[in-house]
Amino acid sequence: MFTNIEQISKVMVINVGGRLTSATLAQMQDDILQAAKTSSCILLDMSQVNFLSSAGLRMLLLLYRHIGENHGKIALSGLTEHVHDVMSITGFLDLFTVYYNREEGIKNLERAC
Amino acid sequence: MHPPGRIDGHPTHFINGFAVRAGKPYPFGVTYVPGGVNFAIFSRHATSCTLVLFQRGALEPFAEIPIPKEFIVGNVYAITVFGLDHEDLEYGFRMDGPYLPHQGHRFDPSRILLDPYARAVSGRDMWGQLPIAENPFQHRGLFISDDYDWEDDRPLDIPIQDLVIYEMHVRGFTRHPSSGVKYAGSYAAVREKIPYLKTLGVNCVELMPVFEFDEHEYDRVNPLTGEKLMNYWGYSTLGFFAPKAGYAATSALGMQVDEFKTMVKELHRAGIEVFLDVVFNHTAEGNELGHTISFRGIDNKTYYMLAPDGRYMNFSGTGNTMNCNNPVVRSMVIDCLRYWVSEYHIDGFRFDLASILGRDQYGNPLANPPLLEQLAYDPVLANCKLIAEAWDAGGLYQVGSFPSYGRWAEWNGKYRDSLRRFIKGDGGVAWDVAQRIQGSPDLYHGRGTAASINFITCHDGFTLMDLYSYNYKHNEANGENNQDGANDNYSWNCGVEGETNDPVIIALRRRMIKNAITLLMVSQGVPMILMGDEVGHTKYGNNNTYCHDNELNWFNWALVEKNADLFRYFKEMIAFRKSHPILRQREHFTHTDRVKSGYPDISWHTTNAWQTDWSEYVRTIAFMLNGKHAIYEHGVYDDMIYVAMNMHWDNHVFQLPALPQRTKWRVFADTSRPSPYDICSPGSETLLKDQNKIVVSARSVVVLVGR
Repeated sequence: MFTNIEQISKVMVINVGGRLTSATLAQMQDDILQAAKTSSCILLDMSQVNFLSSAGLRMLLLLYRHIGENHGKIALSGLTEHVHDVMSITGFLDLFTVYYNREEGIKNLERAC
Repeated sequence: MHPPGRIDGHPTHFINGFAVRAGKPYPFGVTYVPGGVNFAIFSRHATSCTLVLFQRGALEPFAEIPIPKEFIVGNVYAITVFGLDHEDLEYGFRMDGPYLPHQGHRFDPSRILLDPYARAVSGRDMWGQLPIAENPFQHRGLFISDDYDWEDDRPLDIPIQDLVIYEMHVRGFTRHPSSGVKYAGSYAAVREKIPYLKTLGVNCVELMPVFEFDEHEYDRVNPLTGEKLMNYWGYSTLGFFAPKAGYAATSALGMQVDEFKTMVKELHRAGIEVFLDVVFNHTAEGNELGHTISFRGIDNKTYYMLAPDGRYMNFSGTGNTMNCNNPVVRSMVIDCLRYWVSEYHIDGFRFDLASILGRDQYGNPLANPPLLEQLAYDPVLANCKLIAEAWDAGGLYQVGSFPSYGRWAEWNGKYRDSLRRFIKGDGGVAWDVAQRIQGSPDLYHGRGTAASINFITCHDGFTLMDLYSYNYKHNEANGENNQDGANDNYSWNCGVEGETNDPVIIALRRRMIKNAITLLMVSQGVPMILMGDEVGHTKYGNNNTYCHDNELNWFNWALVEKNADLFRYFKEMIAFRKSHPILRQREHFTHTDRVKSGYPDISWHTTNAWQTDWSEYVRTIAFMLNGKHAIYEHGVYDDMIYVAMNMHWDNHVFQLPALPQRTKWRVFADTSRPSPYDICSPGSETLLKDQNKIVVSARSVVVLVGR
């Protein structure tokens, strides 16, 4: 599980990768909360995430909501087909703003922030 | 984000390297507590209990934690274990105790047992996947996340008399390749077909068993094809608190709980209630020759009805009978129903072989069964619908006499039989049919029409297409020499047994199907239809397809197009029922004029208006409903409705009752006419030229609206 951060004009793009499970989510949570302190416009790009467990999904939602309520705008992008389907089937997909890929995400968030 | 610390959130003992403390004895099963997991399991007759933990998919456990005597509260073993990773864990229990079958005890500490309160069960994650033979403990408890964002969803509370129930098999609904869905046979796939259900117009789906069961329960093959027979219907429960993993697209990730909840949420959004078909009358463990998976090894004497010599009583016909009026088992049933209502937002339950729930621990029928009474008055279940299949396999038949406490509805088997006999042209049933159409006041006097779930077909028995294509059952594929399945089908093959190219017979069969759905929809009470009947699904004469995971049972989506005429007829008939409140009255008709309109609420006629004749030979009857007796909807009365039924083999002229001034008879449906002239959309009925009489063709039903 890894995260790295890029600033693309107004948007902070946090690239998340690897497996999001109960074993890795504590680290991810820390990384993202840390980064969120310095930005009010965040795109969580998930194109390198190949596995999302039940706990990982819930942590993602909690983080998403926390940032959205306290720090500004946030959206997801780049869901793989597998991750997209899992989120859709379990009813979580509708709870996020999701863009097809990084470019779409950056473009839309720039307008919104 | 940090709640105040608890003073009981740390271990007090170390057992086999695990940090533990005495657990809470309630709730049963697994609960998350700060820092740990609480396990609680009941056994009155065990002498010891060991918690067994596995990594997901591992053959051998990585931990066995005997529960100390000082952790036992009453008959409950309770332990909290710290430091576990929920996502990579499966669990079970070993119970030690006496092996004295003649005294009812069958403890076997060499077996690891499934927790009856497991919220999810592993071992059958993918439907049909062959189990690993070397694995001695196949059905294991899993840890789930029960937090879920329902947003503003709640049970829909549609009045029961306004329901049109669709009996559905989750896997069968979308498994056929013609469904075109991505995860065929799953809860997720049901959501993809919600637009279809909305078009059809049903507002309630009754799901055949979705509690965890073992599809590999049988080891017989289909003698005609050599295919392995499966337990396809699922009337054989292993886990009452677990949604069947093999019906989920996400069970490999352990997310079947979320997937099921999302299915319910979407169905509710579409205005469709969700009922579960529940099977508390027996378990999958069978009799003394069956496998010990859970209850038998945990506390045989409590969970099962046993004869004085310790053998299993068999009121279910499947080998064992759950001891439902034992207080502990009763609590489990209540816990189960409350769990599904509160956690899964379920709207109602249909109880398989419900008469068993009214027997005591020795099998004697009770006048005031504690379980049924408790269910009727339970606070959490107060708004959910309760439906009983009011018989069992041990000789109890309680249609009309099931202990109802003013809450229970019943599958009205007499409706099914009367209507089938009448529609196929039997004599001597006209009076009976009249009662059924009125909501069976002879059976449910004082309970209203909502006590009667009306149906002509269900999963048991012929499909509607087969009801008019076969005189006899053809169940050879079940491998029981065609000895299984009902013999009293009241079916008629219309001249040829089975498949035919004869256009006259094909047209007649369609007409009979339309007669059936018409009468079902214009009857007082609550109608239920069988998945697939609306598109003319055939099971080629098999009337007991419990063991077939194939086209016999799978909904064939190509039929929606092929039999579009039938689908359209069902759709308009359902719409008709939904648009006329006089068809959905809560109280039985009185045959009097309660509102000084000049017409009684209901009147019966023969081919002569205002005359009745209930003789043996009569096959031509009609009834008229006076819409002025319908409860106000938007301040407007309902219309007059007249239904003429000619189940005779000749055409007959029916004299029409005269209508009040300024209202005229208009034709809504005539089953003898070819599609699309057989039915129209409610509201666009055509004016009848001759207001005094109408010719009703042989074996046809005509529905008129007076407006």
